[in-house]
Amino acid sequence: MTTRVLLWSPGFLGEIGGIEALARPMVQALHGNGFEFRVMATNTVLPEERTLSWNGVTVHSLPIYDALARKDLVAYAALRRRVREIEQDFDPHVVHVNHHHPGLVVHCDTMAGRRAAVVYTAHGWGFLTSEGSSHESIIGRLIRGADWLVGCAQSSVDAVCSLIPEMRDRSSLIRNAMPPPALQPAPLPWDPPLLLCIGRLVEQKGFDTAIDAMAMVDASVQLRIAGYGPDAERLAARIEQQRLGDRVHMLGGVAPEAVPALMNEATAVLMPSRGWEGLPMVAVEAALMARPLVASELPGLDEAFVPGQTGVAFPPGDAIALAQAIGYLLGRREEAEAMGQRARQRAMREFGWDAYIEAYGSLYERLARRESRVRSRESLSSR
Amino acid sequence: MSDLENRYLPDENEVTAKVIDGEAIIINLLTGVYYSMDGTGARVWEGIERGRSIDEISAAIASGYGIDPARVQADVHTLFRQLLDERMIRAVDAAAPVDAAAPVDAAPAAFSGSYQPPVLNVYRDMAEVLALDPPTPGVFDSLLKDPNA
Repeated sequence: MTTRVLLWSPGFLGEIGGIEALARPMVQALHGNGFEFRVMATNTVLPEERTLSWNGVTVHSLPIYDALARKDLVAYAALRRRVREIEQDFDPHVVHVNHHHPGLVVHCDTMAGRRAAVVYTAHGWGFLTSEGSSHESIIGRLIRGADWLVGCAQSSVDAVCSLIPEMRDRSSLIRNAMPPPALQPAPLPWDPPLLLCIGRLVEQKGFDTAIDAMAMVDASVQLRIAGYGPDAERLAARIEQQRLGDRVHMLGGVAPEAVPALMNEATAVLMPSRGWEGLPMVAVEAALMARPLVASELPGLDEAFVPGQTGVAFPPGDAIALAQAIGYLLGRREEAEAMGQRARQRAMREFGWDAYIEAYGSLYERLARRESRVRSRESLSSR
Repeated sequence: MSDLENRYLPDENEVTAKVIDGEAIIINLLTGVYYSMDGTGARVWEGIERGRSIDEISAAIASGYGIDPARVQADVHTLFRQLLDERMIRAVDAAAPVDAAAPVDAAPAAFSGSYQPPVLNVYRDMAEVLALDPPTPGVFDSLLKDPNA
């Protein structure tokens, strides 16, 4: 039996972010293992619905975010109708909701009569307030409507289950992983030391803390900030305000395949996040490229690296502490290099790609078998 | 006049709404809260849009399903309380003219399926979730040109 999986992945084609960077190779690998996928990409800047083929996988680009943001109910209703048609046509065994996003209101609204098993993957925990997990929220309804909850980190599983206890006996941990880059790690550069921040330019990522810290570290140190996002102008203004234009450089968006080479040019990777993190892919990728990490002490991030062993931790939002952490690392060259090597060994062990693909494949198959049994019983009883 | 005879209309200062494909979709313009109702709930909303009273809407629905109007009336009354609490509807002058051509008052064709009480689905976190992760413009274009890239 070929297992059919309908994957809701908001920025599957359009966005460069950790969740998307993970979803694309996951779909590619499982498609190669015989799973049949349809992908629903809802955070698209394309104005109209499109169907695309991506590496043999059908991807539906559905501008649901746009319709909801514009409060265009006619456009939204048309997209909802289209979602129903796609689900009916594809008849999935499993619907996999990868992270929360506004387009999932369609998923909630079309739950009645759905025959597929539903998997929800929680990438983080900060969005789960007691109100946000109630029956009167998109997130609360979609998690409660799921047959299985997956956390990308133990902190995600724990956070969801503490607010929605009924998920405890139908949840599991599948830690985020990444295929090992083909590029081998290069030695850490020291002349000059170069730091790297990479991610969406949003307040949650705390890149402004990194800029403030740069004003307090040795003047030879350089910082690159790579990524897109609504915070770009504010960060550029901060760089100018701190008179750091010759030491802090904003690179704009970087394609996922270019990230390993960019990391190879960095002495250390900074993750000054001040909000929630799931199990950030930047931390996993930095480890695979043998870069030490300087990161905020936050749940999720604390599963991605081991302070003192593979990097240095500091309190979120504390630019002085970040500057001290950078100074500590850059002043201990051998220790920094050893941290990078230990990070790589740990990542190969803890964030193995084959185990990740196997875990999702097994989960899909188990739920699909259960779903098939239900369908067979229904078919028999209707005769 | 009893509560059941009162007339209400969608509060257009608060909400925008459409009934499409038998489903009502409603967004509070001020708070961003999103609501949906299908089946009976959507029929009730259509009745409200036409300025019908609880009594009139309940009678039309009961007639459509061929069931006891009292059973429907209790459910519809509960829904009206919710809609008022959510400030989605406002009371109007009972003497105000109503849309006489509204089909909900006419003896409707029998509704398909069995009667289900109306349910108001509420999504209070819509505005918050919209703010969390907006699409990133500019990236899609290159991937669209060469999706295999």
